[in-house]
Amino acid sequence: MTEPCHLGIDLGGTQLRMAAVSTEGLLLTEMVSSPTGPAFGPDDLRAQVARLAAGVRQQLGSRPLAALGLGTAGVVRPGPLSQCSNLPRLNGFDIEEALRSATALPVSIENDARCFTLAEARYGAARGARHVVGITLGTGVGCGVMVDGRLHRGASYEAGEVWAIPLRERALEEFLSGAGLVRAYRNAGGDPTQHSAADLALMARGGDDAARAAWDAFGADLSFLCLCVRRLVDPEAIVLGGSMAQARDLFDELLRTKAADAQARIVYSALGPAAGVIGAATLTMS
Amino acid sequence: MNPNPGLDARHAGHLRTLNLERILAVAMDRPAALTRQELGQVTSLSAPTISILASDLLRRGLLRDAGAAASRGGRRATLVEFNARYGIVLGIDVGSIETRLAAADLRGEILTRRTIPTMRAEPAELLAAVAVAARALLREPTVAGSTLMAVAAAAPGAVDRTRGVVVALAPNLEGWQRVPMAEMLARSLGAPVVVENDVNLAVIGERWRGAARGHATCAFLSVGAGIGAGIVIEGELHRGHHSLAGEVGLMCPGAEYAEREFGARGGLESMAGMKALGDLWAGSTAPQGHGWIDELFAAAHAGEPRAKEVITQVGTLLGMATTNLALVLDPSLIVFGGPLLASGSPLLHETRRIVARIIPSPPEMLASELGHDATLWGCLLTAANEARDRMRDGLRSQRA
Repeated sequence: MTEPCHLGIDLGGTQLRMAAVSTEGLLLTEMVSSPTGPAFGPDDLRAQVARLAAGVRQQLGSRPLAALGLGTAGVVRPGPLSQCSNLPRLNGFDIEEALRSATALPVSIENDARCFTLAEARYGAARGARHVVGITLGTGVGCGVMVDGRLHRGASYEAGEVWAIPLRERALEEFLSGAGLVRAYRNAGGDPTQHSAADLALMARGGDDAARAAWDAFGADLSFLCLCVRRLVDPEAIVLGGSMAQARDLFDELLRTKAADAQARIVYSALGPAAGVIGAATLTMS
Repeated sequence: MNPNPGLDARHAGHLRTLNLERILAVAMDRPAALTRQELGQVTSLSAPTISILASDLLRRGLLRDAGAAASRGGRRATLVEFNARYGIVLGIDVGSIETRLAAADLRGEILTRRTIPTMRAEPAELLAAVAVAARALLREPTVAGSTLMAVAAAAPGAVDRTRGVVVALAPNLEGWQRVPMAEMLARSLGAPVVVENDVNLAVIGERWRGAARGHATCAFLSVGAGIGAGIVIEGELHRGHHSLAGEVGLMCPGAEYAEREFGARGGLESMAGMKALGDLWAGSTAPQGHGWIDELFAAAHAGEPRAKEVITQVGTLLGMATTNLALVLDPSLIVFGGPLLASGSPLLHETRRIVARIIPSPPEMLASELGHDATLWGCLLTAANEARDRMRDGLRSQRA
């Protein structure tokens, strides 16, 4: 008898990714994807999930799917999605109900940063830790809090909304994000036509002063966030992930000096781009 | 034919113990007396079984007769209740200025109490003085002769709960690094001792009988000489991996302060604790005692500009720290306490205003209802629970 596996979906601001995942947290199929974006609406979601799921089922052959888990930006609580700034057309839409009818599978939905945290705590860089904080660094900043082995959602499903932490009269995310990095670079006298965090990483490594200054500021603000969650949660490990964590060589030293000591392990995602999909699938495993 | 009668007898004995525990647990959880019939309904045990087991618990003194129930026409049923005076428990809140002690019954209801000044001395000497005061309290007529079943003590520092050791961060009590407080008190009081962080106990107290009743996920933020938060998540105290969760006194007040060295007290405590507030208000002439706090608060209420400025400055820092707590943990309620955030404090008002300005739908924020006694009540509930756990365990080990 073949063990059933779990479908994981990572619904992001630029693409939707999907794969089947085993109960050991391993990808059983290729990760398939389709583009999303600000115009991505409920009908697109239904159609793309149905299309990609058919492909995944084909790859799986006779091995059955037990359930579907999906991670998305925004505040996920029973009923319609809210505060999803990446995919505004999905706000007010009941994703869970739509996917259940589109795939005939039991469906679980969770905030994407919590999926990341779950995956890294169960199978990745924080494997075995009971108290874990996951921080995703990309277009925005996300945070998942795991307490005693379970995701902490909070009294109104808004635990980990760290983007709004007050910093220099603004919200943390205005600094700790791709756009924030670019703004810091321009404020440091950098070339106003540059707008990609990946390019700024290359330039910083190449010795560009303004790019270097922007990444230093990014590292300092990330240290502040790590210190903040440490004092509140006292996790065994803080896991950093997301696209901007790939430039860790530009802030890791600063982070270790300012925010890490014997009482806080700061580690980086071991599951990489698959973390969101694996975490989403893990939601449905008991 | 039963091939193994011995096994069956053991099984029957085990079952009997489990049922005794269940009945005792039901009676402990009920604030009022109940009939044997009600015990049967809750435990699904038969009337004859209840009758036998209740008699056993009455004989052991764990239950007691509570008179007759109101007549419903037939024979009047007799009531039984948990014997909360089977023994007593002790709560000790060792604060940096005062130490509060109370003896209570096994439901945590206070029978007698006293408050003594906290001695400025080494931990061993200080705890010896606390034990002397505790033993004097136990000689009071209301509790003399009762068995002391458990003690819970609060320490203003990080506590390793399983070992009862104050591990660190008690800068307001000198020399409290790695003090085996539970062991030291247990030796001098002759009873099991649980040691817990004072603000953790305050949130337990407020959930039990104060502002946080009914809140499964909530926090208590205490601001005085020290700054700390007690955090409860889904009904469980969250201590963190190194017993350092909620040490918001150590929080960095903002990224612009990341370079500054704050020492053992930590950033927020250095900038928004009692000493910082006193320095801001009275400068180096800050008088001894707490009288200046009332003066500052009265001046702020009266609209004195410098007092208002001090309140705004410190309230902003406390408000931002509270905002961070609310955003990361999303509690349904934050209770404010400690001398600087007591009910009516203008600093509390300012802190709350800042949080509401930053978070569109902030958690409920209330002043502590239990005030100075929040931690003491947390001690008494913790000690009572410890005693009750031991009573249930006792049933198991006493089994014939």
